[in-house]
Amino acid sequence: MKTKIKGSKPRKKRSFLYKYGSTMFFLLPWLALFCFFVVIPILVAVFFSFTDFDMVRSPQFVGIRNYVSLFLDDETFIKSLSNTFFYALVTGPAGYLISFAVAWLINEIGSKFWRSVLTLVFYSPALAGNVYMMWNYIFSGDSYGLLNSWLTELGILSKPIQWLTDPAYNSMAVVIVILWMSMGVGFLSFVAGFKQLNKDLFEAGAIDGVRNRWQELWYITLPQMVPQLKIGAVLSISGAFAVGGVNAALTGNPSTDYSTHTVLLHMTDYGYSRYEMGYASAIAVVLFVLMLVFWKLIHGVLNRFSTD
Amino acid sequence: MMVVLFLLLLGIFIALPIYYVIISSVKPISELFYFPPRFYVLDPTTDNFLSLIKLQSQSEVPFERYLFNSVLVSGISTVGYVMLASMAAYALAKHKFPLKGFITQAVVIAILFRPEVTSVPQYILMSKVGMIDTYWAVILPAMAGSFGVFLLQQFLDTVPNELIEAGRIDGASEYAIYFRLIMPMLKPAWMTVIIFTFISIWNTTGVQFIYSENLKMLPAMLSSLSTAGIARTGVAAAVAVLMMIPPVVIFLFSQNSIVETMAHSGMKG
Amino acid sequence: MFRRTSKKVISVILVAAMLLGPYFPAEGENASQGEVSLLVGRTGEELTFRPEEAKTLTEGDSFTQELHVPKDGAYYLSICYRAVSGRQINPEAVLSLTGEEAAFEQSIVFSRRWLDIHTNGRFAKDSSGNEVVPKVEEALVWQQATYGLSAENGSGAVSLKAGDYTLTITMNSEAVELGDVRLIFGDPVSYSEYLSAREGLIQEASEPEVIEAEVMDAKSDSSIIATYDRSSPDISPNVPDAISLNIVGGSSYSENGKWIEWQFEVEKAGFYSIDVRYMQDGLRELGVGRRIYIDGVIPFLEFDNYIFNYGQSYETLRLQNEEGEPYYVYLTEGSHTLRMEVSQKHLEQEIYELKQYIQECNSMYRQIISITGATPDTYRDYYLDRELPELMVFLEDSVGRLETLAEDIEAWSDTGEGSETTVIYDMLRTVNRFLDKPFKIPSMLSEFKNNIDSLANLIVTLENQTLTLDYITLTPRGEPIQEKDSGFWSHLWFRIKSFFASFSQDYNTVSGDGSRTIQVWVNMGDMLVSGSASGRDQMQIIRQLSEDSFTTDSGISVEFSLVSAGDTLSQAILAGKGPDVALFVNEQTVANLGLRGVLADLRQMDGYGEVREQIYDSAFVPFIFDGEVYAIPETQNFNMMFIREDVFEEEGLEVPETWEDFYAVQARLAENKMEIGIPESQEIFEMLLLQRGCSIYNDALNASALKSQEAVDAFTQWTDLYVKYSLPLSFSFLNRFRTGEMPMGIMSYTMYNQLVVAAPEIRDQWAMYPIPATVSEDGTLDRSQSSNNTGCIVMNASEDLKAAYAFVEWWTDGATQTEFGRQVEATLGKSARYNTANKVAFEALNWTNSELEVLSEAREDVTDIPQTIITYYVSRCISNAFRKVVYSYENPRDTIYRYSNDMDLEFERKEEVMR
Repeated sequence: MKTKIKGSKPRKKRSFLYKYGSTMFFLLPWLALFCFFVVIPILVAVFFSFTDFDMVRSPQFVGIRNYVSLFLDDETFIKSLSNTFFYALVTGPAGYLISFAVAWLINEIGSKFWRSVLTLVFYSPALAGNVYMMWNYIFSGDSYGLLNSWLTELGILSKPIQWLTDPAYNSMAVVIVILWMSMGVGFLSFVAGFKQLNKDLFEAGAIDGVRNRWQELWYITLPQMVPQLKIGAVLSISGAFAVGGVNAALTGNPSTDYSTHTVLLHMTDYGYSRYEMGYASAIAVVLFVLMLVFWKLIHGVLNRFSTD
Repeated sequence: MMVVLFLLLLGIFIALPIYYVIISSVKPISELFYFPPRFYVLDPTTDNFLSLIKLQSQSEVPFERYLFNSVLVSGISTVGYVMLASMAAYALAKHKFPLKGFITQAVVIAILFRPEVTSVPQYILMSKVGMIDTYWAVILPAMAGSFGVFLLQQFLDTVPNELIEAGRIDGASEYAIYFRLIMPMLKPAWMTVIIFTFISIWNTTGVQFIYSENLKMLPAMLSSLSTAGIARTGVAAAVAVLMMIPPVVIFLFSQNSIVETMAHSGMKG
Repeated sequence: MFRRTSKKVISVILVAAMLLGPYFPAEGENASQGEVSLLVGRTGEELTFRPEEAKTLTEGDSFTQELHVPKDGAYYLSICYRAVSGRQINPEAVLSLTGEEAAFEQSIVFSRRWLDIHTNGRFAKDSSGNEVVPKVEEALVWQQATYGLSAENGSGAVSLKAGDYTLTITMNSEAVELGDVRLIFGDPVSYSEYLSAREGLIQEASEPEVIEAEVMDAKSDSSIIATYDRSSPDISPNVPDAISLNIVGGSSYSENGKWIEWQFEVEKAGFYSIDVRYMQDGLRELGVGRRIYIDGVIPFLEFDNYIFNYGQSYETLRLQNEEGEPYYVYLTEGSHTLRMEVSQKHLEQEIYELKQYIQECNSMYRQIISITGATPDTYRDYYLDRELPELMVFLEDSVGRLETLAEDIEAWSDTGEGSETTVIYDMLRTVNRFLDKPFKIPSMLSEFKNNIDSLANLIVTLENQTLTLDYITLTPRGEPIQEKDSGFWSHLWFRIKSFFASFSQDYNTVSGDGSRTIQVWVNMGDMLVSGSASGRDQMQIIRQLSEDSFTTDSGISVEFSLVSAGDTLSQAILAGKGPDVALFVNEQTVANLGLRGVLADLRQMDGYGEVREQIYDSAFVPFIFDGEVYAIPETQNFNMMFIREDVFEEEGLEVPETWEDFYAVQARLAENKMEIGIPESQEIFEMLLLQRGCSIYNDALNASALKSQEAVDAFTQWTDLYVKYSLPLSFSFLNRFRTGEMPMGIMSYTMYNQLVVAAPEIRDQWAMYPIPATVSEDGTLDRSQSSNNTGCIVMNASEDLKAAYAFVEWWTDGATQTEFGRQVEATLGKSARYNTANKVAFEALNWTNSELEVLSEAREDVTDIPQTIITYYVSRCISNAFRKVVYSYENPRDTIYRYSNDMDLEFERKEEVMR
């Protein structure tokens, strides 16, 4: 509310600068960087998606040819799409639930020390960066590989299994590793969320006849945590749809018969191995649109839960 | 107690690879090449770390320089980002202006976007401006991310507008409100942003943008050590362990702040 | 590692056998010795020898001489020789002494004499003020070496009984001129005897004389190079803002027999102590041994194997005895030489015993798995104690052997307890458990294997007698040790200064006269991934070399960067920031860039013709498109067959020449549950295709050619290896080859580098052979195979093409490549041996003659399959086809047909896209 100074003539229009000067001061520096480093490259990428840019010569406009080929001609894309959905659906919710469950369990612990320690332990894969290479040893196809030798000793296997290169098994291996890595910022968000739950509501719930933990969870805990759930969801979606690095590191890029190929890998394949940047950009745009759609969906669903 | 036990077991499974790296870093060469690799070490030694120190002594560019580069770049990016992001978040949370809704949406959406796509255009843009092979090539893009803005904005949303109105009524300028009122309140949120930014910059090699040896950062230097041959396997493990330490330390110190920020930064509506 | 049949009498291999016993003039009747005539000459000076006896022995030649031993005792052989210029490796010979009752045989090395080419008493500097590693040249002068006749188990000199003997020296590799050969009675002089013989000699006041160890006057191997340690101001000399070469040491100076020699002046005669500033951080509890000569002679027994103890930092040690009393040598006025030679005498016996033991362990291991298989069934009882009674005997013996071994090693250590012996105790534990419960042996097999591996690694450790030397001071008696310790602040200040210097220093550029500059990118690569190892060390070496010869000669400045090329390269070119030249680029990237017109045709280079001759033709194949040459090959990898000769001998097998032989061998090995290692790799498929005269593509390189009958046969043969013959798909060759359970494998020849460093205990037991051949219709053996190369490229967009060409010409020239290879191996060790495509450089590497022969011959048969625009796709198709057949048991013919079609489709698609 702006008070009027007595006696001054009310001006019809404040100048733009006057009204928004301070806003611009606050907003512009970051916004400028954001535009330059994020928005413009994205727009350029979208532009590329309509060309046949090969990284070396100047791009030639080709209209929607890339998109058409993508959906009609490209079997591998369809396969990578289905793989991506598979990984996203399996690891997204699963990772989400696991993070949630672990956060919940941690919250049940009384001792602050143990809570801190366990939080660190579960967050450590995210902290450590590239340690997932270790899984290569576990899943190694060598008969002395960890999993192989263990299973052989148990008598389950007679011949070593090529976990990472055999299309029958490598998806499973990848899923395990992704789940392993799934405790990231979302997990922290849940841990935090649990801490700020309102105790009164729990008492009220007990009085009102909430019978067991599950009901308590569903009716009281979750609704209070909707904001955290949403953050977790955004990150989950972003991570799940963009899965690729882990697959490539474990099963090779490309994997046998594209069995663990994802949209992201498809994109980098075209971009960096095949020098078809235009096509890769089209894939990127499609990926992005996909994530957006999912995000809108989840957003809507979670809103129903909100108690705010 | 059962819960603790169960979680510990699960935790051990989770922490296994990291444990392995730590163990590897203290293995003498005789044990490093066991196949299958072992999870225990018979004869722990600090040799790998000592070798690392020795390797430093044989480097043309002194180790301190690489460290300096990493610290400088991470430091400036982090501090810069916190400042810019909190300013932007303030504007987005508390000011009204055209396009506000649009930009807010853009911030959220940009989190969804994957950097792999933008790397080529980014490179071209940066080279046109002459930023390649300078510190800025790593610092500036780091300050352009939207996750921090998003977090801070959410945090600010929980700050009641009345406080700000009170400030305005009292005649304080926007700048004063920001510096004296808002910034102190944002402290816990800062810590979070600082940590995330720092950890992510700390771990980037930046080799796509930086070529000069004396501008390179620690991860680049450390990884170039290990490509020189298999003789450096133990050293590579020592390197991985050392690289893990700052993030872990920072995380431990600020667990509380992070948790608090997260508690406040859910998404409303 | 030359192939020879083993003989019972041949004992420790060449490294142990070049023993020089303490040589000192002895009294008594004897074949020879004049104290003067047997001195090692100084640089350029000639030795006295008996020229009419000088004869040149080339490979295979023998020299025989009758000798008479006057009385019983320990004797040494003194041989005067002059190395004949040849390859860089040291000439080797076999020495045998046959008498009426006894016969000895051992291998000996005639080390060459290498001189660093110094500038102003030290080293030349580059434009940034950094000292540069000097070039070497060989001094072809007469040298004298004394060889001890050692017992088989390395336990010391052998006593000869009086009588007549026949001495035969047979050259095994390289050539020498042989001079005086004498038998000398060994009568060690102890220090006290040495001193008392010099009683009464006066000590004149004098100044200490400092010898900088990195300024070497002569050395036994060209790979011993001066290097630097910038960490502290105490290392002499050291400046904060440039590189000073201030130390010498490292892996080249760690093998038995290698020596470095320094020359120094003494002003006034007198007694001097030797103060050595060194760091020994290799062997923890055990010491590292050095043999010390003054003027070519070991003055007294205690200098025969002086032990340097472990320490993590540099310290100055006055050579002294156990009680701390310094050793003094008497030096007359004038010039003298000091030589320090690597000696592992204190550990020889233990090493020998270890090697024997490991061999027997491995043999036992193989016997066990011939019954149980490599992964035994845990539910089965194998009754090993009954099936293999010799195993139990072996185990019982082991207990005693291992205990003695551990004790012996511990006896040498300072604290009486060695961390190095932990592995021995581990094995002991396993052995005891085996003895206790023999039925548990199968389930503990991997434990046993790991123990064997650790013991083998112990040998690596023990043989690595590394000592890093900073400087040596000869101090007159009475003067204290000049310790240099500048203290904490001084150190700190030094590091601060060097930190600041890093801002003004230019680490990347080699500055010429400023008129022209080019940018060179050195691709960072991993041997396993890209086929060539290249990291910071390599880049630094290239920079120095460029400074030294390229820029000084041409005046062109060069800016170097270490990058991971591939995507970075294309991006950079796109943005106009690309380099002029890029090194170590892989085939695919060259193809991708070349076919898009980014690369310059290197035939336009001035020296193209000469360079072309120096490099194997086959290496050029993947870099030629439409007749245009887009890269000059730098490295080339190809496959060889690695064979455990001892295992083959045990089983009575012959090394297979053709694929039929191969299958026969496989059958026999399979009976004993041994395996063959052929990694899953497209190269094997290409090998089989080429041997049948076909290729992946048609001649026009626009369609695949895999539907022909021969191609299908090749594919079937390839997949059959795994389907029918059950070769393992994934394995660690290094480990399995060592134990011998996989005595044969087809791997890149660079596996040699790994084996040599990581598996020294089997050093004599394996060799490389050419890959199996396919018999073609006319009966000839076709050993074709493909290769995997990297090359250097020039961008079309370069602003100064001429300068770029000049650089490439210089870089790919044989002399430069040779020097690069030498320095890389000297700096990083044998495991980093440069897999060069340049003939001249390849021959200059430290291969033995027989290895060189085998490799060069194999290389003649290397052809290659060209690259095309869809190479990336082809590798996927082939790998997918392979896996379909091997994992899912599909029909090979159908599968390869299908993927062949796929490839053709991709060709079409790509052509459309490229239009």
